[in-house]
Amino acid sequence: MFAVETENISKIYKGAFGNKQIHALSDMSLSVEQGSFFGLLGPNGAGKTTIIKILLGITNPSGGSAKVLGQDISNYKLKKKVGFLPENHRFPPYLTGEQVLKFFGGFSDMSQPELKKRIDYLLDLTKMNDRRKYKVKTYSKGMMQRIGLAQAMVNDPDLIFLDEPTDGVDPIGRKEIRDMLLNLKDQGKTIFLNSHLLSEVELVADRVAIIDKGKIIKEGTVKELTETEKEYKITFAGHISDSFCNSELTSQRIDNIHTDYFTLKAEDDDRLNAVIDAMRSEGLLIQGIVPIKTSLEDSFIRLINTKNGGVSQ
Amino acid sequence: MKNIWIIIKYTFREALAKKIMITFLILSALTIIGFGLAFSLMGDAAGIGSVSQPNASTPQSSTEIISAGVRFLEYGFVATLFVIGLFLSIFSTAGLVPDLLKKGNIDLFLSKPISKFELLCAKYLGGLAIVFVNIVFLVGSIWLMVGLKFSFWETSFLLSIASITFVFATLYALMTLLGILTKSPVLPIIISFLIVIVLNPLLAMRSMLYDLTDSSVVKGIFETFYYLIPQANEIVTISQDSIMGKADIVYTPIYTTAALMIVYLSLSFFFFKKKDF
Ligand SMILES: Nc1ncnc2c1ncn2[C@@H]1O[C@H](COP(=O)(O)OP(=O)(O)O)[C@@H](O)[C@H]1O
Ligand SMILES: [Mg+2]
Repeated sequence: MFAVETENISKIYKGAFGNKQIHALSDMSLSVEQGSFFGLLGPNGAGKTTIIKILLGITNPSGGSAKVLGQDISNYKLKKKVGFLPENHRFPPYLTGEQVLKFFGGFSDMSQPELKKRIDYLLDLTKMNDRRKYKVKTYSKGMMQRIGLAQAMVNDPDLIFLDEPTDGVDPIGRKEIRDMLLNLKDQGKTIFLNSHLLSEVELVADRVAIIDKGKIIKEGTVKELTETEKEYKITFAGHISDSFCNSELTSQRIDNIHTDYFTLKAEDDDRLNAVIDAMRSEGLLIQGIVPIKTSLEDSFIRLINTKNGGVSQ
Repeated sequence: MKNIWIIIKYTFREALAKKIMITFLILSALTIIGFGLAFSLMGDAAGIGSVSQPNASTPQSSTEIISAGVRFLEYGFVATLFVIGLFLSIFSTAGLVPDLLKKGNIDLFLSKPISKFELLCAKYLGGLAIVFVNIVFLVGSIWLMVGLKFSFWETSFLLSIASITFVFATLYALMTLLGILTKSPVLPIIISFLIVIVLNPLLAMRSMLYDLTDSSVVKGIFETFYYLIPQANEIVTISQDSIMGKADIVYTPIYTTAALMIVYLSLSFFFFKKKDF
């Protein structure tokens, strides 16, 4: 069973008077394996928040169908086992951190003593114990995110949605949040993380989907997404001939040709070795093969740029 | 059911935290003090009783005269209490639904295992419960004061707790609908005040206005409004009549107002379900 499964979900927001339609999502199909850490990446306005809101029944889809934890999203009871940290959440400011957890935890099936224990545990986990009796309106942005995270976990969910959880949090806070998420994954929970910050997702996600303008552009493991673009800088000594550069093997793969180096794009190691063999038989002396590592960020920006005709985000 | 209780409980807490409750109670207390001052200037109920029934042909016992006097007093209070009670209730509850719908807040609620129907029901009932508590305080205190001063307890006066709450419930259903459509308390407040302060008195005089004009358009407009807003005047009259012990009271306005409340609530649920947050 998939934790999340959508089929051709689309969303059109209608303007105030029925005009000015916004196609926030177009035929989006994705599936998230149970127990996995899924990252949804995309620039602002790509539709990341919209898909989560549809999955949680906060927004109605315009078309398509979706299942969460094996049940149709129209069944609100499935949310007993789901947690959610919205972006820019607003807790009742007159409640203390502890009261927020008690309030939202009240909707779960837990008994009062169970809930109390869970709240103590979560306040410890999120390092909010010393602020538990303070009103949330006195909290800093980082504390708000931490209490928000505790809130998302209060019902001990199997699946947890996080919308830009590290937004506005300092680097140490980010690391702490990341560690908490990885800890959740170790407990077998499914995590669905939205972010426009690629570096955040790259470090934690098993699978990543990149979306732009409501469409999935690319999907795969972090490894797949970064490795398909593998590039090498090859330095050499000797004269490089035109016929070598224009051969079937090399013409589409080598670039930036200088007298002592060129860059090579190789889909796999066999191709890399074939090029090296060809160079050797040309009588070139190979001095170095340095992989130019493409981060997800690079491939992300490149993808978005090619889709947008070169206009950067 | 548990979900509804949690939300009602926290709506009370919200009202306490936003100082809605205390403001309501203070303003009610001021009203009560005002009534109290008016009493202290009055003579005894027997005097009022004889004034209220100048044409009483049969000689009456003194208790009958006191009872008549108290009823006459309370009869006069009902209309005032309706206006003050509604006024305070509108102010104290106008923000509840729009605040719930604020971005970042509604998302949290809807991500819990609670249906949209339950959520709106609970918020509506929570607002109503807050108003009910305050109206009990307002009307109850005045009833107590009258009773203590004249040693006469007219229980039918307490029915106005129910009738004020009922008229408010209908108004609040409309406020909820407008709150959902506009996500702001401004329009609900303006429209409710317009209803209580302008439309209701105007509609009370509509037969007089019809004498001034033959226009069927004007008549049509007034009749439409009459059925689109809670029939507060008629319900005040019903409350007054039951205090005076009138026999042949017509209860139709209660039914039409109840129907209107159901229509506004259904529309609220419909738009709440349809709306994206
Ligand atoms: N309630 C709404 N009404 C109208 N348009 C909306 C609404 N919410 C989002 N949008 C639009 O839908 C698109 C996707 O938004 P969103 O899902 O918030 O993107 P992201 O979370 O990836 O930044 C944007 O163009 C945004 O302006
Ligand atoms: Mg977003």
